[in-house]
Amino acid sequence: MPEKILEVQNLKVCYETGRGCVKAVDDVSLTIFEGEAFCLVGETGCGKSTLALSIPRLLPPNSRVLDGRILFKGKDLLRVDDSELQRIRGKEMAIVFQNPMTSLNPAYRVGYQVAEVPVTHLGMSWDKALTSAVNQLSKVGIPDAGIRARDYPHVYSGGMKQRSMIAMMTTCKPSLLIADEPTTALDVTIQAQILKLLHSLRVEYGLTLLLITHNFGIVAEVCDRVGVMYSGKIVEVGEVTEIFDNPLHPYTRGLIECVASRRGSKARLNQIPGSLPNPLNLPSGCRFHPRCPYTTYLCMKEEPTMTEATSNHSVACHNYKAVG
Amino acid sequence: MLTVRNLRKYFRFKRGLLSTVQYIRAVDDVSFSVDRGVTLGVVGESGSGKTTLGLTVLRLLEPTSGEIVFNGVDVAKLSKKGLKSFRRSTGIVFQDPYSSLNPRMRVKEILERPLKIHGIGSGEASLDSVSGVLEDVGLGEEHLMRYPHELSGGQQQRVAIARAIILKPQLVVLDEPTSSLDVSVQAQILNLLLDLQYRYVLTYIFITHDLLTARHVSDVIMVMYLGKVVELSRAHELFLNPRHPYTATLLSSIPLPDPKLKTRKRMEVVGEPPSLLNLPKGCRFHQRCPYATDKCRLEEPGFTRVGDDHLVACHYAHELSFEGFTLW
Amino acid sequence: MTRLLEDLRKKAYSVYRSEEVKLLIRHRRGVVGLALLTIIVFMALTADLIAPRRFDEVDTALRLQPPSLKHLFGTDHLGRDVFSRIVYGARIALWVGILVVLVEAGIGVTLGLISGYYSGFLDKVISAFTDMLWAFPPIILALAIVTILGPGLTNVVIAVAVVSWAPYARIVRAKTQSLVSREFVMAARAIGESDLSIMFRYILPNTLVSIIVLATLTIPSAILYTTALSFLGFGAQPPTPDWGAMLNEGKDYIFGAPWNSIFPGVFITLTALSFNLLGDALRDVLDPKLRLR
Repeated sequence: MPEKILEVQNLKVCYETGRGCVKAVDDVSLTIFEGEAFCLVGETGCGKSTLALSIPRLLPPNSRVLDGRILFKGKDLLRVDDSELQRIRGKEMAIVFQNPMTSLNPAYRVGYQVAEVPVTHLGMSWDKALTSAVNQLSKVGIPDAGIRARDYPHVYSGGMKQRSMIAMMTTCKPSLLIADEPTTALDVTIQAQILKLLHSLRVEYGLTLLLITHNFGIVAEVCDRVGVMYSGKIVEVGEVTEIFDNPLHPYTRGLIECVASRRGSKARLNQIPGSLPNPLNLPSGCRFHPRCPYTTYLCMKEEPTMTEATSNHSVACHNYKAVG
Repeated sequence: MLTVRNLRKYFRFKRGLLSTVQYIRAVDDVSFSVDRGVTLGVVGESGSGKTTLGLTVLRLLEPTSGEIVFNGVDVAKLSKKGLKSFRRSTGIVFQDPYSSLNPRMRVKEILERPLKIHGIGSGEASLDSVSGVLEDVGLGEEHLMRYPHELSGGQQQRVAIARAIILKPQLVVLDEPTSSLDVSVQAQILNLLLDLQYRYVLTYIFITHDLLTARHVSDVIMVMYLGKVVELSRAHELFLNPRHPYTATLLSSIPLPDPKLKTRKRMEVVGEPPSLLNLPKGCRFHQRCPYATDKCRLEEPGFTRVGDDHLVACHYAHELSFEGFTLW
Repeated sequence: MTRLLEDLRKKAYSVYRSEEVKLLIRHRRGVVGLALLTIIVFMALTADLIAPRRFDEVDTALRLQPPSLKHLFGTDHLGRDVFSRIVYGARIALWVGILVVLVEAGIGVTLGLISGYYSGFLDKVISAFTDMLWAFPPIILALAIVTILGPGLTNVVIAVAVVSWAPYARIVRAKTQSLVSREFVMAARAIGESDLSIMFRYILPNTLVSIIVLATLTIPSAILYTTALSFLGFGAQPPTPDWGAMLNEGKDYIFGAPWNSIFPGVFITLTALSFNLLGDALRDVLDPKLRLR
């Protein structure tokens, strides 16, 4: 059994709005094992990014963690002091964001920004750090890295910016990389290159990957295990082949079908009726019940809890036996 | 019904005061034709010119040169009056549904405008067609008095679709109509578009970067790269038997929702597309193409016919084959 | 045309949605501005009731009386009640301010729409004209115009409006340019809307918020300019109780009877301040980019 590297327990996060604190992540628990690639998948507003950002405590100021623990290598990240957190971020845990256009500082040369990381975290000298930055940049596939390291970010293309972000985040060989929709803003051929890069880095450094995405294709390509989120809750967790071959939650099933059935020419797609619930006005019982074809009276009344269906597959659905 | 010949759209571009004027060749020598009731899928990455193409075909942008023949009339040469009747028989749906609706108009007014402009029905009659079209797109009378910001993304896109079809047009350009929507809503909108096409015999030009969607909705697919058409073929043929290295690259870059295909054979390319301001000589794909030869570096390829209705812009269309890159 | 105006009015009305009203109520400085303005507007509306005497009632027996219970703000050199004149003056100040803003907004918005919508030659000409005007000291230009037109309140209004429409043209032009490339304008062209209809139905309603905010922020300068011109003797002629004119008349007695200058001055400042505070608040509330969601 591999070691647990990250354990999220009963996490609750909400955002202050004019109408009270709106829950974005509601009582979510999650375990990630060393060396695996774990995907959080879901649609807009399901709380997947909030969950990911709460791990390195990078949530925006109008958010509040109401409850829960985030154990990273046994330490509760919600309770460590700021200097400890600074040390962990960037050195042991790294984050890559969705928008490569805004995540690099436009005022500094790319090479400098990459070199800054080992200088702060490993106490490396600037000379050495700059050389290693060039190496790191060429490793992530920046052509002529020696010359391009002296460029400012604005002359880089989207793909190159994302590569540089990855270079920056992996110089200290962190053990956990959190990637929040790292390829959403990129073209599909560039996306394929970035995903390949992430894969090779995982093999080389043995790093654990937590990938946030809305694309089931990326889930299938990259991940070992998957967590599906809907309206602030994790509704299903399991090994990737299990999830695709035998989805147990009606929501997972619906999502996979409406993507995967795009093979036939012009046939009707299986669709999930309705739209995402308003977080200010959640349905009673199971949050998915108004859109679910398997709804029973129990679903309207009682919120389902996570149940282990098989040893590596859990689901939060009253009727999963009928769905599977 | 629609035939486009040698269409070009160049944008003037001037950097600084003293530099010479450059042209961005956003759409460069594109020709194709679409029959009634058929969907032409236009596929490409950013910078391929697919959106510019869609806007130019509807003359929302003035073409630089070329012909756009719609029902026997060259749209590029239409007078103001002729253009108005052309507008009546065409429609457009954009990617971002919110910014495609006037935030200060209610749904009712958004949908009544096309009728008023073209002098169709008044008062009661126009309200009837508005409710009719709302029902067609799966909305109800309760949405009539709403403002766009009071609707969800999917509902906004339904209103945009309703506006595009309320005049019973023949041709509708759909510019990434599902890209900004959530997966579960995308399927609803795609189904709706297919239903409407069937019911009103609509012709679609479906612009998208998502090959899976293109494959699902299209009869014919045109793949574009940096303003040029690289391959044009029936949809199933294109996916079964791509003949241009770029098409093959695109196909094998799609992340497929099936973990068993993780280890499939892939066509990989290096680097990123060059800037439109600094296009290479010869074939525009040669810098990234693993099969490029000196001929590709010097000479721009013309179209080669490799089968019924299957055109490829590659010097080696007959020699290269990528049949190994099947999808499922 | 009346239909169009009717439509515009309705759309302007829809700007005031309940959420924004709520935010405005929470905006502390905005509430102060609104309260001040309400007092001044109340004064203007009920002048006939609350002013103890007519503004032109001369009583030489009561010349230059200091403030007392009978004459709250004292009396001037002709024995007129300063409080009454201030109250009636509120009417003139507000009326002139609003009139100037209507005229300058009319000129600026029209030119801004045209130059933003039709890029190219027309835009270059209008923009160059706007920039030139912007660079010129407005009060000097206004003085020149009033000198040509002759003194009088109407002429002052025209002069001030003619020299200060440039901000409207600039803001509307910039807004228009950003809206023209938006999809809903493209969609409007795709359904066959004419240029005029696009400008008035699609672009103008979406610039209305900026125009309202700008109007609130330019009323103070309109009031200041007109009172300045009146102070210099070009505006309202005696016995009109224009605050600027009152300042002018009071300046000769500033040492012996300072209330003749202080009170008009205070009210000019308060009116300008109230609009400024309200304008800032409106901008904070109505501009979604500045508002934290």
